[in-house]
Amino acid sequence: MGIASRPAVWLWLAAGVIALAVALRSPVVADLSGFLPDAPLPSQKILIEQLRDGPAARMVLLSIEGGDEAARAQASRALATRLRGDPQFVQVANGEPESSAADRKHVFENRYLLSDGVTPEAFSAAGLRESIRASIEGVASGTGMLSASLLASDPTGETLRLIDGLAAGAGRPRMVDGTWASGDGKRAILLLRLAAGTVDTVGQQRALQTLQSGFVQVQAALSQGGALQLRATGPAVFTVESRERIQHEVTWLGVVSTTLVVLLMLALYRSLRTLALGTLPVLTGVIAGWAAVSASFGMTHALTLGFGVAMIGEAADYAIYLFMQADGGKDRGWRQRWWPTIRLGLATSVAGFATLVASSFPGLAQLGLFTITGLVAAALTTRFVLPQLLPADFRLPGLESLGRPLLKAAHAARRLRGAVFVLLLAALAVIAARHDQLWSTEASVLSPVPMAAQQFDAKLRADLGAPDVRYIVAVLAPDRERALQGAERVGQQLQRLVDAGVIGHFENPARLLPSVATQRARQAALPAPGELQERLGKALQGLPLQPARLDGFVQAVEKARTQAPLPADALQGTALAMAVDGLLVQRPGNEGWLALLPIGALPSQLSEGAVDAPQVRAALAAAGTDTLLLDMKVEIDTMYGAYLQEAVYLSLAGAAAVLLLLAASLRSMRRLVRVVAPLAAAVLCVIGLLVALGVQMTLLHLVGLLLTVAIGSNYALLFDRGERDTTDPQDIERLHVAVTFASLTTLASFGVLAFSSVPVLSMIGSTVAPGVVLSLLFAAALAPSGVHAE
Amino acid sequence: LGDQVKAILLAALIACAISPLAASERFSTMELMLLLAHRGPVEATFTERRFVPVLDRPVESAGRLRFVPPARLEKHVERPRPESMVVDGDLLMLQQGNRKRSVPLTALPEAALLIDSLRATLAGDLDALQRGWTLSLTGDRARWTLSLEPSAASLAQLVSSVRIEGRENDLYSIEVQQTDGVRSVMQVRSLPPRTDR
Repeated sequence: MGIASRPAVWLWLAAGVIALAVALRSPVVADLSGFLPDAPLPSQKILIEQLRDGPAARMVLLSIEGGDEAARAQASRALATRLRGDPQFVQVANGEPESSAADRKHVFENRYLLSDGVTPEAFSAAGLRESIRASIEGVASGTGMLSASLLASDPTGETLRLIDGLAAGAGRPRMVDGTWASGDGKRAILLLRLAAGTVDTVGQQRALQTLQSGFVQVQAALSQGGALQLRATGPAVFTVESRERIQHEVTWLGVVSTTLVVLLMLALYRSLRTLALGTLPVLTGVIAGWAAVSASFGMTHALTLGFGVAMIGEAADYAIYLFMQADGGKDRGWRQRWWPTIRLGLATSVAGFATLVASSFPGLAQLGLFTITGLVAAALTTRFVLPQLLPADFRLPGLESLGRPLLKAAHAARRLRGAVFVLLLAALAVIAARHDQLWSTEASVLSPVPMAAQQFDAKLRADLGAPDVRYIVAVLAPDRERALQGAERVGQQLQRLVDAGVIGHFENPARLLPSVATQRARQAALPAPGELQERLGKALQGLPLQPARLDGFVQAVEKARTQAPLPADALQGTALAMAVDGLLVQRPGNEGWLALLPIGALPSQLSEGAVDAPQVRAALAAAGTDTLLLDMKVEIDTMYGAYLQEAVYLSLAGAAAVLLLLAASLRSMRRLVRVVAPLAAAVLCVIGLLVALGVQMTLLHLVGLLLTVAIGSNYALLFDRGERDTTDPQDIERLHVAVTFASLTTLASFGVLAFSSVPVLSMIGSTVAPGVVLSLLFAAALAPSGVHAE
Repeated sequence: LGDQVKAILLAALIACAISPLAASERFSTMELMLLLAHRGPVEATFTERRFVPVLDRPVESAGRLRFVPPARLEKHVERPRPESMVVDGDLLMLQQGNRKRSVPLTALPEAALLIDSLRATLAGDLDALQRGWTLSLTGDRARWTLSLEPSAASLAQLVSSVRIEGRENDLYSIEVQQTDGVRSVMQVRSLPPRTDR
């Protein structure tokens, strides 16, 4: 019989090709934002926009280490000079004053449009007299708050007021040779902002490469360059690095796990042909799962593929079960005795994972869909295609040498029943003792950024006096002008909180770029030249300043009074532009404009970074504009908590579905208990083990438990079936060899996953690997004594 | 912070350092340093006249200066309006009305250099002082003048010269010429040592 006459094989081949085409059609996404959910609440939606593309997401902190202080400062200056000429970097700050020369010029030249000190009262004769007298006194007292050189051009002190406002809250790093250094002086520090947002990962990656190659050239040009090292940190670096790490991990996990499974199968089959046949269901499963995810989501996350790699171990089992029974051409025995059991095992897996597909967390939904489709495809291939491809004289090498010891071991395992109960009790005790802190409610546990990298980032931020932004007031408005007007009203309220010592400081895009309405109001407050000179004449009586000295002032006021309001691009070419760009953003999808006012805590609140949120909310309500106070940490954790809760419900529903299916199929309470007991014990012991090791359970551990149930149920079902249907001792041996190898392949692939440095993968791996081993041991130990009687 | 801070600091610190100068036949800068090395807290009143190019007449301020070895220096302006500037260890604290600011000296390298050289002076470390300044002492015991010219580039950006005039052991004038044209002349009168110390 040729292959051509077997329709199932042809159908399978065609489906495989189509699935592969579908799978490859949509992209594989590796940045974590693709794994994060779309948020239902407006605040969460803004938050996710911020996470993905906000100003914070573009920040890069650089540290230059090694060499001596002078060499580091020199390298800092050389690198900054290089990068300032590159449009990939919108801001390059290292403490050098040149970096803000354009900023100071902008502030000085536009002082009468920018300063909130410009009011009709302030420019009355009395108001002018008061502010000029104060400026002269400032020069006299001379603690340096007012420079004497500004007295003639800016006698009312607007520049000082503006610079004070801008400098408020900005940290002052230590300086070495005119460049920023860490608190201990051992590192030079630079702060960059990239032009590319996180959505443009390729652009960010290119900018970081430019940075590295620029540093190599700086090193080459310096005599001591070789001793220096550059380290970069910040959200943009994390995004690019975790993307690279995920890609790298998924590749090596695939290679290692495939190699292990292949070696195990070779050890069992001792035939390359059998091995090749055995991998067909696996390949089919992976391609089908990938195609299903690709078609439903429009993209596949690399983590889903990485997880799919672990599926290799599970799908390899089906072929093992088949080969065991096909040995010597006995495939009728397979269909009658083994297939129904595998079908039931498959059904329980599908029932368990079907609930995940309903999850609103895209990553989980992808995992669920991938698993279901992959397992079904692998099982169907094993059932309908593989038997047709088996040669008539198919034989496995003698299994007696493996089967006998395994059978003995299984026999011995039943003496360990007592130990199972002891383990179970211990696990329950551990769980009971820590029941209130079983679950981690912090979303950061899912972050792929290693702890050491997070700590380094925090250290540099502390050196720079730039703590992580936790609170942001978002002003929502239909257009740019109204967003700025809203920000101005909110700013007045927040300033009151600063004065009252409730918050440390805040940033405001309207401070650098006031709304047109406010600029016009300030222009209206400025008197015409003749009027101003008359008022100055009165104001300066008795003061040591002649009105004639203030011609520059009169001209500057007249220019401000008659000029067009500053346009949106007024800040171009200054470092201030980035601050406004980041804080005043047009939302995607025609949703209007957003002004963002990040709030900094008081120094006394810095350890926790928490401000008095109710007071801030009250102040916002008083501003009478459409605002939201985003607490980044609370919002993210709340969002994560909601998904965790949803996942708990879904998992419980999945477990219930598995239970119902088993009950309906086994039709015997006694058998149901026998199948479920080892599973339940294994799940509880895995939880106990994790908790005892100090691990807090997350969403992904939950998924791992669900997978343990799905895989473990197969073992228990096989033992159950073996007891009922088989009296042939050779069959019983084969059963033990098959189940043992099936669990070994699963252990290998998930065990490899457990060593991943990507938390999402290692969490699943470290749950499933022990779960599978325990499921098998418990299934053997709790099997009824009749089975193995010889 | 403005450039003036540094000039003022300089003046204040020198005033503290030098006022109870002991009289001697002829002193070198070395002898001056040695005299300064063994003193307790110093307190003085001052009157300062500041000549600013755009103003018709000099503006005046007055207040107190204080030095507590080894590292605390204070300038308290009492009129025309209260302001104070205190350096303690590595922290510079400014107060104007109810506005307070604290700045670590590490963030102000020029001021730090200045303060460090004056602390060195107070400890009698001539070498340290000479790292930033060129010193010359003229006149005799009855009427002497100590002139300082900045040799460090960062100081030279702010200050053209400093002249301190004294008579016997009493210092009476510190004159600072800034590079921006502002000149200040400070009259200092040291107070008798406190009895509670």
